[in-house]
Amino acid sequence: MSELPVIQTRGLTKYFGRKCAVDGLNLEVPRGCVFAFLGRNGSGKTTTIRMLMGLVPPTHGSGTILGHDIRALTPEVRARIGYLTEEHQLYGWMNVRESGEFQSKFFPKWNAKIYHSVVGHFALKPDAKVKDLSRGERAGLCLALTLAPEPELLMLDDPGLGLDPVARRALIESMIYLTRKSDRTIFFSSHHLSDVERVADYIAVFDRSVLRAACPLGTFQECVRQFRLRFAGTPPALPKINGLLQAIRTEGELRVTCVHANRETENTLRSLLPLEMETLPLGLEDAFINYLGERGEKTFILSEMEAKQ
Amino acid sequence: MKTIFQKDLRENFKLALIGAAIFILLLMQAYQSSINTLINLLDHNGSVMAANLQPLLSQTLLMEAAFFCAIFGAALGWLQTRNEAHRDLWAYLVHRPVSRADIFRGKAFAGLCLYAFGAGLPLLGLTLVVATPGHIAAPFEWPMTQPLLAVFLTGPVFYFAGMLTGLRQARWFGSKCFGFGGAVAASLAIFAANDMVVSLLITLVAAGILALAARGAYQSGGFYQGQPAAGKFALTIATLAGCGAVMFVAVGLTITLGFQPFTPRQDYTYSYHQMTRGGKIYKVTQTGGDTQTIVDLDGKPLLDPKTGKMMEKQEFQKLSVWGDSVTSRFNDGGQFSAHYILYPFKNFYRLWNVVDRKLWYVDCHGRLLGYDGVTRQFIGSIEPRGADGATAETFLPPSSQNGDYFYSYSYYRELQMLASAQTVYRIDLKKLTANPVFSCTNSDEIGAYQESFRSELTSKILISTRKSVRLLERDGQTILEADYVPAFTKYPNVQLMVLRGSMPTHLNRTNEFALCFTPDYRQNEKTGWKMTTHYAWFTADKGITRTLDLPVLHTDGGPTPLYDRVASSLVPFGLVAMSEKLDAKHLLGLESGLSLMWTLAAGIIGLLVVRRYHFSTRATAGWTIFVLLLGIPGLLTLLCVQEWPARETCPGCKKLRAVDRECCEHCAAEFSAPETNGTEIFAPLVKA
Repeated sequence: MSELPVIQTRGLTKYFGRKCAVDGLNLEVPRGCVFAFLGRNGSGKTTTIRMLMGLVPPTHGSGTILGHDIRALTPEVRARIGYLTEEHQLYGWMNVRESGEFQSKFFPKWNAKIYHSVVGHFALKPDAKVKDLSRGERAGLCLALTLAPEPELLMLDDPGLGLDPVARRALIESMIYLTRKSDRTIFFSSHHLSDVERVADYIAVFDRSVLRAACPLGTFQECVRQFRLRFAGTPPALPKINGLLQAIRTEGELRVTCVHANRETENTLRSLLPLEMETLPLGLEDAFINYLGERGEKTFILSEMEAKQ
Repeated sequence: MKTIFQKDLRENFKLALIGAAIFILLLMQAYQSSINTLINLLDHNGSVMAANLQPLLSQTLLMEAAFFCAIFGAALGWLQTRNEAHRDLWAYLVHRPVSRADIFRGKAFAGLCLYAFGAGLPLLGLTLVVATPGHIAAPFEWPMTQPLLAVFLTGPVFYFAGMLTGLRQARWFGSKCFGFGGAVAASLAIFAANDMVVSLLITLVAAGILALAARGAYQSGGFYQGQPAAGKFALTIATLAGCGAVMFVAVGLTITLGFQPFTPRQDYTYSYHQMTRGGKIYKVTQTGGDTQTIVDLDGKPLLDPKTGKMMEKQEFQKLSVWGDSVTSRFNDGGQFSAHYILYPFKNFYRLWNVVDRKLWYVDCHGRLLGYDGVTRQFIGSIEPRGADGATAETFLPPSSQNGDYFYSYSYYRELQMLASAQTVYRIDLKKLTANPVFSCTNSDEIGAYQESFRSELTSKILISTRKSVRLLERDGQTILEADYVPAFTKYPNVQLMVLRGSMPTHLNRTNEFALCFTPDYRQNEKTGWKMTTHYAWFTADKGITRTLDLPVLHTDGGPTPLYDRVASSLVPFGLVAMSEKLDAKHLLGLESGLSLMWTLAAGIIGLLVVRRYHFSTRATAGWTIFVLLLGIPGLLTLLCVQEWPARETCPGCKKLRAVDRECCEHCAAEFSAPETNGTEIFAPLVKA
């Protein structure tokens, strides 16, 4: 197994007019992993994937995919990369069988078994027109077309978008099956954190066009911690805490979420003399929401409103 | 490529089918129009467009076909790419193990095949119908398909322009379609070209440039940056034509809507010489269509004896004499040459006469061909055999039907005379014979002839040879003869006027005549209008009695309209300098000065723009020369084709720097990493 990263970027940046969509992205994706690319809408995930696929030129910076410059991907390199687009666009006038035949003619390593197996998994009729397929069925067909060439690297741009839970589960299972069976790499973006939690080895989190986190999934969950402090009356003012994400005050309670919390953080919080202090466990979704949510302290007004409710 | 070709063929076949259906309707309408023209010709006196008798040469059809081929080609190219321009479908198309150039080739080949199906097959169908005897009562030859073929071949030019427009990632929507400027310019050039080879060359070059630009757009996803050099060059050339067109249209609209309503109308004045029946020449000066002055050659005004005042135009016309004129063209290839797209039928035939519901044409091979107007079948031909009946000759096209219209008035049906270069013939349509009535000497040659219906010249035939001008009876008897002075080569137009004998019903030898030899317009223009008009007065028995040379009263068309002045000042100075009209007078003229000023201004602005964005030295030099050569259209092209990146303040030197560079162009500082806020989580990504 090669030690070279499958994807590597250095200061990759994209501007659309004056708007910076991706700002100085430095990223390395190791081979043979499932890499989840997370972020809110418009944070730059799709633009990054499109840059990596050579579909839009970076404004500056550089990147390689499978060791090749993203600005000059050759047909041979593209043959090794499967790309599933966000909206699962295909030719509507073709039927399922024709779509498969069309795609298969380009790929010498086309694996009809995989194709039929995925198509079967989604119960797609060969004569059904693509334009008549439901969104989930179309996603299934796209996945079949992407997987059948047996690519080394799968780039999936929000593959679960618009899918019902059953279809999404089917898609996730296909991904697990593929990566666990071989040494393929999957790089995917998603908003479904439960799916990410099930399959991802690593995650990268984008926030307003800037990469804020890139680490193993477990590390992320460990780094984002929430403390609950109980007080007899109004919680006192919060001193400066490094890595503070959020502090929510309610009557008699203060919830503090921060990253990289350590003994010093705990000591700082204890110095507020709470009646009780405990660390709350956070799932990926909560950690993610806290990580990308509104930063800083919330006011009493909010807590009063919450109290009235 | 084959798979993409098949996919595109299937995907867009419906469009080709719709196009074919529309074009078939247009062609059927043109065919029906041709039949209607024939019916009108047979049933009524009046005039009909002679070209319409042969649908392949109908100007209406050529115009309709030109519009159809352009629109169909453009729509095909645009829709073929626009359907896949959605970013995800585009990704699905291009993310496969074939090069984008191969994808382009597959799509372009499919598009051109569909174009050939939609536009070519209907044209082929029409040609086969027309070529089959019994359908059209007019001559048919395969070269007649050339004008339509030239028009058909403009379609691919528009097809590639459509493709380019569908793909181009332009900064504003308008400049996306500037590639059509190149296609329109090529189309106009094809229409202006004088022969098929030139138009084919123009088509090839234009289609090649736009195909290169479209291919470049495929390779770069529609951006200028990232294209191969050939693609960039082709896109620049294609956009240049669009920018030029936009600039001139904008100037035209501004002047028409902004200035013209407030500009007083200026009528221009022009003068001409007019002979009276008494043989006297007057100079008539008109302004805006109204006669201002009528003076003799000494400058004395012509007074009306009844009123004692300056004679009115209507009164003067009663005194004026209007003769028959012929324009000689000897074997210089001009006998049947006309513009091959704009006036194609003139290259192939002249409709000479319609007698007993039968149409008689002089074709380009010098034969008289007959077609039955009812059955539309060929009924026979007459070929001139010389005075001795054994020499193969060819009929010259009759001057009487030299225009676009065929005049089917009853007196025209009396036409009986045709001429070859050596012999004048009286045609017997019943016996299908051409009987020689007059021959010129072996050293002489007939250049033009005209069978006249002017009252005093009815049934006479005027011929001009290299040496003389003659008026003949139908039996070949010479009524009068005068030397062709001056040389015919410079003076191809001759007019014969019958003087005195106020409106005689027949000529006699006591009549006085006048000949007016007018110089060739183009040759005279080249000499600066120095060639004079030559007049000669003579009688049949005494010969030439006097001559007079008068300067041609050339008018330059009056004051130049404002749009022309502004537009000509916007023409890049480089083009002005290359113009054949360039001389000291033009160079020092206001328009040339303004042109030079605009070009220099555009060049300076262009240089400032490229320096602002710190183009490479090569690109800076290239664009500056380009704009200096092409002026404002060149500057607009620079602004349209290039992508202009945002600029932001460099934290190092505090100057604005373009974001598409790896480092600051002023201080060479690299872009700083995004600011951190202490919440970042980075850990080594190494698979266990």
